[in-house]
Amino acid sequence: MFFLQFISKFIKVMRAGASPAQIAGGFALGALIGFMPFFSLQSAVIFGIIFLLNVNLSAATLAIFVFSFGAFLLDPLFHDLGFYILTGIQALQGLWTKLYNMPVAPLTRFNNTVVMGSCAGGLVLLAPIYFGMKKLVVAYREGLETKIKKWKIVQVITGSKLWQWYERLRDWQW
Amino acid sequence: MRKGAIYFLLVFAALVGVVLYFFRDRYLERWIENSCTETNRARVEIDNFHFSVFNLTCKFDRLQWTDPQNTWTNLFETGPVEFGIELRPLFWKKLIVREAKIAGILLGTKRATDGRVDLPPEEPGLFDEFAASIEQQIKALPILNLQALKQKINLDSLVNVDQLAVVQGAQAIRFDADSTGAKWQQFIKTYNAPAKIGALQAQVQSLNLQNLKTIDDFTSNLQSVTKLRDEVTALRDEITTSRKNAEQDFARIVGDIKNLDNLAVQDFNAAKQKLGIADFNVKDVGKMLFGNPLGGRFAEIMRYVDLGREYLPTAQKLMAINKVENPPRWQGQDIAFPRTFAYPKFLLRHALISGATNANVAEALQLKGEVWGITSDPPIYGKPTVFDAQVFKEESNAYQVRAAFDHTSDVPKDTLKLRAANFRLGEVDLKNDKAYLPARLQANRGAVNATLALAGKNVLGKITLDIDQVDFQFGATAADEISALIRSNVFRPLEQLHLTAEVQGLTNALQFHIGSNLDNIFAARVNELVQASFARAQQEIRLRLDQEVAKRRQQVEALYAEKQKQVMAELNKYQALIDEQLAVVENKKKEIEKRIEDEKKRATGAAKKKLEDKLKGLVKPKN
Repeated sequence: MFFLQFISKFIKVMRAGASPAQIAGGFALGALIGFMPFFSLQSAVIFGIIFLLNVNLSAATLAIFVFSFGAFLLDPLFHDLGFYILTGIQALQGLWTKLYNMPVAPLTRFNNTVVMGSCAGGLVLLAPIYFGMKKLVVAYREGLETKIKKWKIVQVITGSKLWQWYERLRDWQW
Repeated sequence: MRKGAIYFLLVFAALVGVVLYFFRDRYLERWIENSCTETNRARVEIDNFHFSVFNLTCKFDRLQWTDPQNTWTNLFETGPVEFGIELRPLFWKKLIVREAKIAGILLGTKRATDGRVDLPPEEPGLFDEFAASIEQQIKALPILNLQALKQKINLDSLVNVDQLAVVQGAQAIRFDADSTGAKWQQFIKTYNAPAKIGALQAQVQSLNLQNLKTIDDFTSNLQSVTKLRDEVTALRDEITTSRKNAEQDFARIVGDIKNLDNLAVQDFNAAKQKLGIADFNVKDVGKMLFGNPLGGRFAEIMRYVDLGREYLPTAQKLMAINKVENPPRWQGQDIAFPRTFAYPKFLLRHALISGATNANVAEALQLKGEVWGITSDPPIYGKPTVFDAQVFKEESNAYQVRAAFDHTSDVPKDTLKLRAANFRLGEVDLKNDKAYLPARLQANRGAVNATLALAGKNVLGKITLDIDQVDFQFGATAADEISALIRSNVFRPLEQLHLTAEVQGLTNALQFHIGSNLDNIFAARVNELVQASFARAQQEIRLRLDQEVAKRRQQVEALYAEKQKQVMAELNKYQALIDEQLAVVENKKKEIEKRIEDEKKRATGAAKKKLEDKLKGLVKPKN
């Protein structure tokens, strides 16, 4: 129910109310959090950034959900990537050693393979996600919505009883 | 930029802070319990943990540390503990405890719940290797069946012919000789050397050098002879190789026949062991009498060293970065980097400890002492962990125990020293079940001095015990005359016992020796009492075994000689034949080569003469 409400809110945002850059920014930062293990210092910092910057919160929240699931699937890949970054690149050894011995930095758990791998993966994908999302929002507003509504899957979902029940609840005057 | 978000974040942070403040004790208690449980591989529980944020002090009412070997018992539990922690290292995620007072330690207390946790099995440590090595040596000791020596030996039940190693060995040799002989006979048959040699012989005989006249005849025949020689050589090589292989096969059988003597010795020792009359040596006396309790003490000490090795890792262990394949989701693997900042992850700088082996003060061993430098990263701390304590019983002198675990370098070095004078010994269970050996030792007072030093896997340990007013007690009444005599003549008169136990070498291949003032007396008395019976029993077994060995040896030697003779005679005959043919071919080849040479010389001479004649005609003076 919560998730449907969320998608509905997101679709509204996609139509109007926020600029494509705000939506794409929220989505990209949310994706970065989604990739990383949830309870970490850097996640808290990015949360703070999302709240402070004028980016769309619905898009960020949706991205956290979607990319957390993606991160679960990609966990072995992040482990391998993190292990390579932490041990395989000689030029970075000095930096890691310095960070390892600095105050606060160890609290980020940067020396963990999954934390490092997912963080690196998220940062690499940050720009493509931002620009991709921005393009998608513009396209959506320029007519993609009508096309999507004609998709069979969308028609099946919006025609389902669960959706109708949700719409009734949504429009209920409390 | 959302300005309102700043207020939101501040309120949110404040809320998080409040929640953490109120739930910090439970969270930290759970975190410490889980970390320690993972290290201990059995449950570790803390009661009523409290962390004071403003004073930076921690306290708890009780800590239970489950014994991983027996999960219904605690290795130890503590009473109330209070300690202060240092603020600055917390920014590095390090926990440094300044000073702790750990009172009311009790060892081996019963648990209300099972402390087992399901973790993958661990690699065996030093303790397992050490205990296995000691146990193996005690098991290998000769078992003296003094009663059996008095009875008539039933050789038929003792020497089961079919089960003897020498008989089984002889059967294997027979089988080998048969199959080797058959294999070579089959080879001789299928190889058909006479036919091959015959064909070559015919070709050799067909070469008639008398009919050859011209150089061309000789040259074409030389090519044929060379080809024939190559064929003969190839056949000769094949036969030579086969002959050598056959010789090797038969040499192996000869080796097996020689080994029958070793198998006979093995049978003799097994029969002696079965009868209980294995060779009796003075050096074994100490181990027979005190091996179980002293070996157990050493192993117990090793268990604590093992714990030290596990909890105080060396630099090598800390820096090891072998990749963990497929770690659980979200967990990954923590990679360690060289530490340039001198805070270990955990350090307890100093602790005062006191406790007892159990709650009953009259029976318990009391413990009082100090510990310095318990740390998760000894190489960073740079100093060994030192444990200094007094262990004492009511109305008895104290044991001084000092241990140092130096894991600051790649090779861990551990030392343990234990010293006590004039302590009360009481009763010691010697864990012997033989009628001629004492089951328990009752003594008044004694002095003990023990040292154990380990560097890597190398052990050097020594325990010396001097005990007064010794009284050996036996389990059952002496069932035979010899046992009764040993009891009355060896053990009863002894009043003082001086005992030395030594271990040396690698933990998995230890030299374990126990010596005492009893050794010579006991060995001499036993030998005196049982020597004649020993000799008789050994002689009877030896005679019976010798008969069996001689019989089997004769059989296999005859079989071997027969098979070897048949095969080698055939192969040697072929070898001689082919060598002969090769010699004939070589001679023919040499003859043709000589004839070609002669023909060449002759032709060259004729041409030269002809040329000279022509030259003479040209330069003839005109008249």
